[in-house]
Amino acid sequence: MKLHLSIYFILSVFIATAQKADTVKEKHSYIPTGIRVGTDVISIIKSSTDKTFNGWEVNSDIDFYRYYFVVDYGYWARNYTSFDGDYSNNGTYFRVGADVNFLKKDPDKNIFFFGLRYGRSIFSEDLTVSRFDPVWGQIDDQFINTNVPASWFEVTTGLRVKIWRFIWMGYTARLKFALSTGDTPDMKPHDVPGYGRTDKESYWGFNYQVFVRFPVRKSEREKVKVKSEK
Amino acid sequence: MKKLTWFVFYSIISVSCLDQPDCYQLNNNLIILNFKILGGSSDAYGIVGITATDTDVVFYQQGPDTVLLTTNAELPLNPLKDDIDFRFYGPEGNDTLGLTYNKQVQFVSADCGERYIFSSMLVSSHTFDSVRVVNSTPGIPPSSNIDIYRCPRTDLIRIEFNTAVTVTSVVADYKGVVYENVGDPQGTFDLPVNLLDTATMFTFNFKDGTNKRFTTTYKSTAETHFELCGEQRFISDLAINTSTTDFQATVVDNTTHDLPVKNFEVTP
Repeated sequence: MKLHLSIYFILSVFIATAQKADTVKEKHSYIPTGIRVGTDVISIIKSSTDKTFNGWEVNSDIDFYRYYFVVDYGYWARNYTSFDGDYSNNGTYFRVGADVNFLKKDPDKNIFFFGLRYGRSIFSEDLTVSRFDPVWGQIDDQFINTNVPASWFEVTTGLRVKIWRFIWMGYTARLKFALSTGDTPDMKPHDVPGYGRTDKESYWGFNYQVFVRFPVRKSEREKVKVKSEK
Repeated sequence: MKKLTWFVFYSIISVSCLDQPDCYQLNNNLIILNFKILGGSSDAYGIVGITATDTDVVFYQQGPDTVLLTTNAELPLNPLKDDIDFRFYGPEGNDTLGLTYNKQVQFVSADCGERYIFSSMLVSSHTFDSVRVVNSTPGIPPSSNIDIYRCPRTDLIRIEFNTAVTVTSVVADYKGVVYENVGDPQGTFDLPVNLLDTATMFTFNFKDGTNKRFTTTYKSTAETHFELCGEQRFISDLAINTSTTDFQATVVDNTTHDLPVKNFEVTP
């Protein structure tokens, strides 16, 4: 279903763009026209439906012509109970990066982008183990990792579509890779906030986002559009 | 179209399942020790039992005084500590092997629980002739980690009867009893010769009360083949002294080997 919606998004944006016969010769201006601030809807829904997860994420971007400087900040915590112990983690993370918009001529500033991110997290983990081993007897132990740093990179793609006035929606699909975590001699990290499970060489992430855009000025294309509507 | 939809559905489900960790063999806590002879191949190491610190479990214990001949042993590392000492109980004495290692725990999933990851294994002490770590990280599934070497025995000759005989004991003239049996029929006898002499006479005592002599002559030369083992005496030019041998026998191989090979073929 998500996939279908996403394909719809992409197709609709492409078709809409293709239909706009563009004859405007625009000067490229690298002065930002607005700041978008939003949040990840999936994290909010997941926090209320999944007992093992609690988290939120704030996303923002600012445009420099067809390039967008992106900053995300988030928090997530996980809590698992297994047959022989309990695991919990929590931590904050941020991502910084840039997107390149491939819908340069859209007057509504809808974008279809590819981008790169650098992610960084500080997190803590706690694992308690209580089980009987046939060779070593009863094993009761607790392992704690505190304020462990982690970093990774992401390749991203997605859409931002204007829904109504200042409200935008979109998604970001991200391929996370090259995870590096700080030294944890006793316990190897299981899950890094912002990244996911550490036993994966690469990891997919997906965000459905709702944004509010705060315009700071009108682009040449928006001015042309307003004139033509008059 | 309907089939395609189901195909896509099942593909997604199967990919989702693959994303779940497999709970089978998560720990790499098992190491494999290979018993070897310096300069040779695998050794048939005799084990009555192997114990480890911090557990009462005895590994490879077949029964009281039962010797298990094996070329390798698979043993567990202790997830609660960073070191372990193994004690090997054998028919000819005991040996010890001390190991140190790094261990980390990692939570895997709610279904699988946690796993222990062992690495950087080192030998801290041992009483074997030589020990070599061939892989300091235990594998999943377990693979060779440590080679345990012993100096070759140079004194064993193999006498093979062409039909099984029921021998209760064999007595060497320089040492006394070198073989004892309750009386099961047997065709092969690995017997130690006197390295400090040039001849050894064995007396075979049969179950029916009779006995027969077998005398071998040889050349014993002092040589250093392995620095670790120092100077050893090596046997060559094995022959039969017919005047003090009551069997009909022929020489098949005139030097000793470790592991022994057939030196003499004997008709009872």
